[in-house]
Amino acid sequence: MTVSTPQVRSEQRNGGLVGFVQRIPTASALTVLVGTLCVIGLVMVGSASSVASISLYGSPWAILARESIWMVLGVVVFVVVGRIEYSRWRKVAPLLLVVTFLMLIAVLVPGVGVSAMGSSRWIGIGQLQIQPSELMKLALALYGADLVVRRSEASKSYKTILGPLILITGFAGLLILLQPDMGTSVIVGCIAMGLLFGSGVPMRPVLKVIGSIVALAVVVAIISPYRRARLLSFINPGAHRSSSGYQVVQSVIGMGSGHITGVGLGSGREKWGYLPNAYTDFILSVIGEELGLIGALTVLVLLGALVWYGLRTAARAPDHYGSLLALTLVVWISAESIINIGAVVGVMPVTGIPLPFVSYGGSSLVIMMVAAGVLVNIARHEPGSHRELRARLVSEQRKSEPREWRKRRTGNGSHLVGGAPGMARLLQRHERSSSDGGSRSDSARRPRANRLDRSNRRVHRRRDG
Amino acid sequence: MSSKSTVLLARRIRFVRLVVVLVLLLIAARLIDIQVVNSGRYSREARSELAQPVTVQALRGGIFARNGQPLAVSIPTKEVIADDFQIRHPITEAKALSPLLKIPASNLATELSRRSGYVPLSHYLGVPAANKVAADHLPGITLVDSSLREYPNGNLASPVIGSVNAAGHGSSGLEYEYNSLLAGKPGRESILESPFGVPLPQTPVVARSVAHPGTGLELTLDPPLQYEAEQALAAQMVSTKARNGIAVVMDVHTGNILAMANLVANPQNQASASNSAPLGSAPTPGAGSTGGAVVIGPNGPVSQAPSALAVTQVNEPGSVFKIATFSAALQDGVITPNTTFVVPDQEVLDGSLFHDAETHPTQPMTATQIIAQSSNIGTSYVATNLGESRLLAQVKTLGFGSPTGLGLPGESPGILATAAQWEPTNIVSLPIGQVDAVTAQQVLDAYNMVANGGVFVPPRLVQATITPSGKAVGTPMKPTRRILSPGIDQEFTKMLEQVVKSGTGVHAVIPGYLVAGKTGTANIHLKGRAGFIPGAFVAEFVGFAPANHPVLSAIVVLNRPNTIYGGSASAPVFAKIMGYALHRYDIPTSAGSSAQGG
Repeated sequence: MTVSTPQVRSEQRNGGLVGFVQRIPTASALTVLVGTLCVIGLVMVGSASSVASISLYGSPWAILARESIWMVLGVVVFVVVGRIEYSRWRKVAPLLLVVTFLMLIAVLVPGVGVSAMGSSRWIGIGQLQIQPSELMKLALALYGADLVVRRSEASKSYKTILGPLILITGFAGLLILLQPDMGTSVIVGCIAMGLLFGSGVPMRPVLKVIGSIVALAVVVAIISPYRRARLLSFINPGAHRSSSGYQVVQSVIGMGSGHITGVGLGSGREKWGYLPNAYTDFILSVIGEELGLIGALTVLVLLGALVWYGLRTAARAPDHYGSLLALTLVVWISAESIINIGAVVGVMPVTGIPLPFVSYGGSSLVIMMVAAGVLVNIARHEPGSHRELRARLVSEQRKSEPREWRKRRTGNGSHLVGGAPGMARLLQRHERSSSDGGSRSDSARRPRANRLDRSNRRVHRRRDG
Repeated sequence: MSSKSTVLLARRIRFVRLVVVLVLLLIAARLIDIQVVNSGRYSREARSELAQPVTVQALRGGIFARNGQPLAVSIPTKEVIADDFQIRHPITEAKALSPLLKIPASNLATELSRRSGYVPLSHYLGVPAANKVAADHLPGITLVDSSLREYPNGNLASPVIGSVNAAGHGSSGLEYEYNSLLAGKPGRESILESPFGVPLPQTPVVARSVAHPGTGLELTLDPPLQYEAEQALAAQMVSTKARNGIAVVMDVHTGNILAMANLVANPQNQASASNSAPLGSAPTPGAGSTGGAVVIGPNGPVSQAPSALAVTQVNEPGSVFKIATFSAALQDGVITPNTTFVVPDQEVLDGSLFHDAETHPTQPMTATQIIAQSSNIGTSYVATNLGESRLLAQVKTLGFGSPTGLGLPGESPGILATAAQWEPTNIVSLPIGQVDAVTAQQVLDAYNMVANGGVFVPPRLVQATITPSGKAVGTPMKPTRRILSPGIDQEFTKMLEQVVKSGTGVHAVIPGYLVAGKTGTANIHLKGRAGFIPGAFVAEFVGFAPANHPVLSAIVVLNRPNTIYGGSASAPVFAKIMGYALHRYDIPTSAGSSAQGG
């Protein structure tokens, strides 16, 4: 039953870090990376928010408590979404997009949208407020990937893709710009770019689109005085250190004084009112100050690894939609990470983008966890994965096993399985949720999937590509 | 999906991977640039931004009397400040603080719920109580170093000693004049602070310089004599309804000021005080108060003056100014004590009528009689013989027109007429003290010169400075200068004895002692125009004792007493204060003093 080729054996023998990284299932790797980033985020938000929390709520734990609630919500969403078959999003996506557009319009209606610090970005009641612009990123990725896949299958002309995509993105970007929230509209632009790039349309029109968007962005940036100030201060932060360049200067000063090992967890000084938004957009500065270069590089490496495994997900996805969606989600996460970190280290303008999974943030964190969940679900379909392998085993089993067994299993299945009823129930539930729901298996009697996973990977990849 | 698009997608995924990896590497390089290469520079910037200088206050030096008795001392205390935003349970904290701060818990609870962020609860809490507050570790309660300026003798001599303001800086008197010496040098520390001034926890305090406590002052004042002087002056002010009063006692040979009383009347309190007179507020002049003490203060009939009037208040001196004419005339040999003039009781000069205080027939008078009876016309004859320029020179020689050097703030040098401002009538009006304006201390200094054998001694108030370690460093004596030749001073003293023996100053008699002195009753100018305030006078008596062997000199000035003459209003106060002082210092009585006091 095990397919063994010379290549597989050589890969098995490949020890060391490279071998280890290659052997880890992508879904597990993504889960561990997202989890680690979330834990770092929780700890550092707790540290960075303590001072602001006292002055805002009278307790050093208030903001951490809120972050914990959002984090629990995020983890639940991550686990649930990770188990929803990604292809199902194709059906939901158009509705999600329409609803999100309606919410984006509603935000701009005075009395419906909630304004804070000069922009109306929120919608909701009391403590339960979300940013529709965050939802727009997800809706665009899910719908855009579906659109691209459908149109490229139906037509040879890339124009059928480019047109509607630019229309949707432009409208969404405009609505978000009106809030005003330039940072999020840039991210929406990046998501659209990821879709176009992954769609296989020729690069020349894509570059034209990029060029026009950049030109538009520059115009938009220069029109608004506060954005112009931000951009100018980015060019020369020192000259604006007491005004618009203040935040970046403080961020860099804080990180610089962290040196290699940091001033110690909790001992950071910038958060005492010197660095604005320490626990949100500038969380990496606090990490760099308190945990030093080691801490900052760790976050960077974790994000890099997340992108690496995310792109592996895209490469190994079983269909075009999964591949394109994974690529788009990775572009989204990368763009947010790079734009955030770029601002924190003072090489990019400050746009108000949070650091994915690490920064404090309600709806942005939850939406990011949805994106990560979708990515993990796509990764579960990679050839040789636990899930994919089991599906294949079942199909083989179906051929060899007698029909009577299948009849018995159909009734009230798991009770009859000796040894590991829990596992069986878990698998059963899992499979009910999957699209190829017809397959059934009794994996408890089967050899451990992991071993098979390793031995089969190369074969499937070759078959795929 | 077609294999072509799959290949394209795979290529583009690799491209994205390459781009992201490159960007992340660039960011990593930037991180190394910030956190390793330029770390030192950014650390320094952070430190300079965080470090806030903190002043460590230096304890102010004390002010002590000649006998070491403290007149003003600073006690280290703590200021208790509450940040009520940090206080969750105001009532619990108020109950805990109440016994230590000695403030009712209900009041404290209100203070702790003010929502202000900065509520000073107690400015000067004693260190033992403050240590207990600190030991309680109450949230939102901060202790800051402060110090309390204590004046153990209450307001005794307060116009001289002065006061400090809320910030602890001297604001009047010697406290002001010697502030830089008394204040010491505050130390400096730097601590790390948030932009809102919150000291960051677990950060080091860097001492930049240590605090040097202030230097103390040892004054020449003698508190018991000062008290006596103030009481005697106050009693007379009450009984004569004087607006203010000055009494200064000076050590003849050293110029040390032993007492300097400067009082102002509280007319609104005087009516009730004199009606219910249990505090001996209306003693007969010269008899001294036999009842209780006069309350000196805002609630009493008199208060301490806001400044040392003895050097800040100028007025026309009147007859005490005749010393200028007579000392110069004696010194130059223009007159002897027995030189005789035929003196009318009035004379018209340049259209102005001058007259003696009392009418008398035109009669021959010796120089001694002229000064004893304080004859204005007689004095003008002596002055005419002396000449204008010599007279003007002698005024300056005696110290008029120059600061006394006592070092009290707001001192006036006096206002002198110069030769250019000379008018023909001045030959009469200047010798009798109606041209120049001088301070009481200047008058005392001039008479003290006669007592001191003709040698002028500058007065002084600070006889030593006390180092923080307690060592006394004597203040160097200022140079003295001889004004009268030996013998001349004796002649002049004899003339001044006659003032008390048989002249205008008979109320200055002190039984057992020979007293020399001079009365003065000066007019008070109208404000802003020529002429005098009718019925308003400054009554003065200046003198020294024992006349045969002078030890102490003193001046008493009463402003607008209802008993107008210096001889009747001020001389009894002089006698009382001087009598007390002579006994206090065990000064031997004078042989033949029974001749005085007729």
